[in-house]
Amino acid sequence: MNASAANPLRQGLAEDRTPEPTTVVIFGASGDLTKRKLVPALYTLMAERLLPPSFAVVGFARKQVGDEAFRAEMKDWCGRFARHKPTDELWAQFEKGIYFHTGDYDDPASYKALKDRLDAIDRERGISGNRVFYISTPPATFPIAVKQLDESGLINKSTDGPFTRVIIEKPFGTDLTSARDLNAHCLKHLREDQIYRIDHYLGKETVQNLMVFRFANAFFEPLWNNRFIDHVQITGAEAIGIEGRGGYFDNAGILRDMVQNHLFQVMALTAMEPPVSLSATDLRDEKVKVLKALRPIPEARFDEFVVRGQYRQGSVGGKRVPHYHEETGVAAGSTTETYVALKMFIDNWRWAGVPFYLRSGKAMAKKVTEVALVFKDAPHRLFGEKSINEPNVLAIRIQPDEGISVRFGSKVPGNTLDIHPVNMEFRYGTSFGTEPPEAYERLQLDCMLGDQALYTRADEVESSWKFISRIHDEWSKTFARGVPTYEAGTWGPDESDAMLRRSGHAWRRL
Amino acid sequence: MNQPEGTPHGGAAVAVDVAKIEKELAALWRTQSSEKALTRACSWNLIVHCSDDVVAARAKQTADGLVRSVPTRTILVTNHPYATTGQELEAWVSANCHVGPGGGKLLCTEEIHIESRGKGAEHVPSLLRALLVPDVPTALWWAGPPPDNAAAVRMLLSGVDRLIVDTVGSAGALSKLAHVGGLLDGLVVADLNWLRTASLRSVLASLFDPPMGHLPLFHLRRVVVQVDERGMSAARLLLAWLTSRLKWTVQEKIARSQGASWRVLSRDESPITIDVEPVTSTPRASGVHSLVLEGNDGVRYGFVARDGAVVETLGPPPLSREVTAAEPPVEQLLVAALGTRGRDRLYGVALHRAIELDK
Repeated sequence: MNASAANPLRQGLAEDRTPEPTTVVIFGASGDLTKRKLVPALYTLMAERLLPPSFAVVGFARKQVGDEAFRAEMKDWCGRFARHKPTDELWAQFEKGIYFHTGDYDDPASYKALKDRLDAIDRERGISGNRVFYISTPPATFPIAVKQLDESGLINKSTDGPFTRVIIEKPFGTDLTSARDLNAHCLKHLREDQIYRIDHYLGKETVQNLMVFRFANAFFEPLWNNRFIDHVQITGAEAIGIEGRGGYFDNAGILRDMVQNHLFQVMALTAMEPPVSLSATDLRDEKVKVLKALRPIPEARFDEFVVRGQYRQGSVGGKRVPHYHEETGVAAGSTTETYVALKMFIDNWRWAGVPFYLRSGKAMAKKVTEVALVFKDAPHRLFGEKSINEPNVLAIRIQPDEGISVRFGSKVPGNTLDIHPVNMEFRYGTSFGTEPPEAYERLQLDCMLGDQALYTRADEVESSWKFISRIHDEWSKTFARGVPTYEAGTWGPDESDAMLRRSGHAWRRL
Repeated sequence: MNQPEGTPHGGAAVAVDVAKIEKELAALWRTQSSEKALTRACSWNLIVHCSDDVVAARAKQTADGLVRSVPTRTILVTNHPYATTGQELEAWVSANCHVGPGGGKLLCTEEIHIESRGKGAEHVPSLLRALLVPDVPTALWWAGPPPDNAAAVRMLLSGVDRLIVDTVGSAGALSKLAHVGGLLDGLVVADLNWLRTASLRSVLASLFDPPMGHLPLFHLRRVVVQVDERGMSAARLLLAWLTSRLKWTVQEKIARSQGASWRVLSRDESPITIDVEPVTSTPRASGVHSLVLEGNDGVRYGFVARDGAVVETLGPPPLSREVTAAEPPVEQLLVAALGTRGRDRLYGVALHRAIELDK
């Protein structure tokens, strides 16, 4: 419930999406995410008057830091990463609600002390016990933190009174079994409506705009099916390599790091049926249906549907990138994939026969995330040889240069009838002139408001792991075959191009 | 008047034949594009009515800043009805360019300045109709004091989706707007004065969020608003909002030599006194210095303005604290006026009620 529900002065205000007074407790407060994203996002929310004056943020981590030092550190990070740079007046107001609490994630005494501290903060700030625990620690500590929160009495399980919500960072499990275990563990200590599994892609404006684009406009949705769409390409390319994350990435690989969560969410939003409403349940029901309709990859023809790769030495944007094996933290002879391409089918009425191609990679030619719907040819070639060879494409650019473009054929000016493909573009920056909010602003605000629509549900996570784990199982059987390599700074291994070529398709040049 | 100043990147404004404005704009784009890659943007037509050259200069400066957030085709219109010399209609065009958010391409918008003299004003509406970019909404910003001449407004309203005014100042500003109210039916009105006090309404509302809750709002005996000379209309809008949200009924206005007072009845028919008191402190943009609600138990809730954007909230601990409640500059208010906040259904209710307060 948000604060506007009963307060007659709140109703109708532009800021009526203001949550009740809340304390956000960040586990892993000394980490990069806290400094670069979480606290700057909270500061921006306050600067935009979307947080109540009675608000507090408590950093929880092992390091010994006082409130004052933590405040000074956060001011510095907000100055660098918040959309609204701190002003003296606003910061003075914000920092009064910032605290730091030193403790161990597995030490019951730390949680007891945290509880006492939070009770004192409630009294000091005028908060009635509403709490969001943001668990942004290494994944191994997720279950421990949830259990300790419960056992120390920090979780209010009643649906009445102050709320307790827990945000769990990715990765949510490493395969189907571990995801199921983590879900079961969390559900032992929390209700599903208290668990907020975060996938920051869902907080991106452009990802949310996918729904607006599809369901707020009348003229695209009738074309959004197998009658008109030839195939769909979803790309999540990073120009950077693994840059110091070798220890984590070498165990995860790109399939876990990008595809299982981010790209599958984008695919689900692209392919789902219109939800009955924008409620969390209706929206997530439709996404789960898509994930459940994914056709399992046939074992005998695995290579026709999955390509993996690993970058070798090359250069990206003129800068040398070492071979993946030379990156810090990568095991010698590692076969971890830094690139993956999938050909998938969604076996339902709307998408029967339409291939969905997904690709994601590190050290690629450029950073770009987009969804492209490639249309079938016009039914009749009225212009014969002069007809365009390039199909119509609707491309939704998620990052960078967020926007939408439509490619179609146009007559080349002149006295002959030549046709050339042209692009019609919409860009956020051009039309709205403002930078879109950070994903973590929207997501933290939604959690405080109790809106789970942009968070993933247990069955959603398990459905995606079910598909992904089969690929990992197959790879484990063919371990000895090694991984094809691609030169850093290119668009992936040749095998990926070949996979599309077999179906008469080609990756878009981005 | 002097030729409008040059724009930051687009070069100086070019005097053009009014019949060829679009052609001249196209030529301007060709010249600019040959030098560097440009993106032309427009999400609103913004007609700016300027009562004189001083208002026009100020409005132009604001509009130049505005297009960084909301790309508009800006058409400044200055009428000199009593001028007897000079051409009846003159126009200048210019491009206003800046680097888009996040860097990258140069983003350019267009600005047209039309000046009419004598009977030239009669031709302005048709010229405007021809100059509006199709398929984007149109706003008329009445720069300076609100209009008091319905005919003058009506002349410019054809095709307009939103009227932007600023009623800051005396209470008469609201009745001026009411005077032209007959033609406002169905037209969205965004009042910068209302938007300027949004943060004050928000601060006041926040005092009654949980854990305090809203019950104290039903046990009040007095409301006092302190304003400087700019704040008489803002005070009425705030009171109109408050009384409409709490469903109070106005019993009578009490005559006072300075300020204003009313007797109202709460929803359970308990009497409440409302006083607007003038103060002489450093003027604030909205003119509002404090708003205090006094409970039957003597507890006071509200805010008192301190330095800059800071206000001190009043209430039982821990509600008593310093918070920011910025009153944004006109440029930012215009951004809000052209956005969803410019379509505030609470404003319509508050305006009608504010006018009733003075009946």
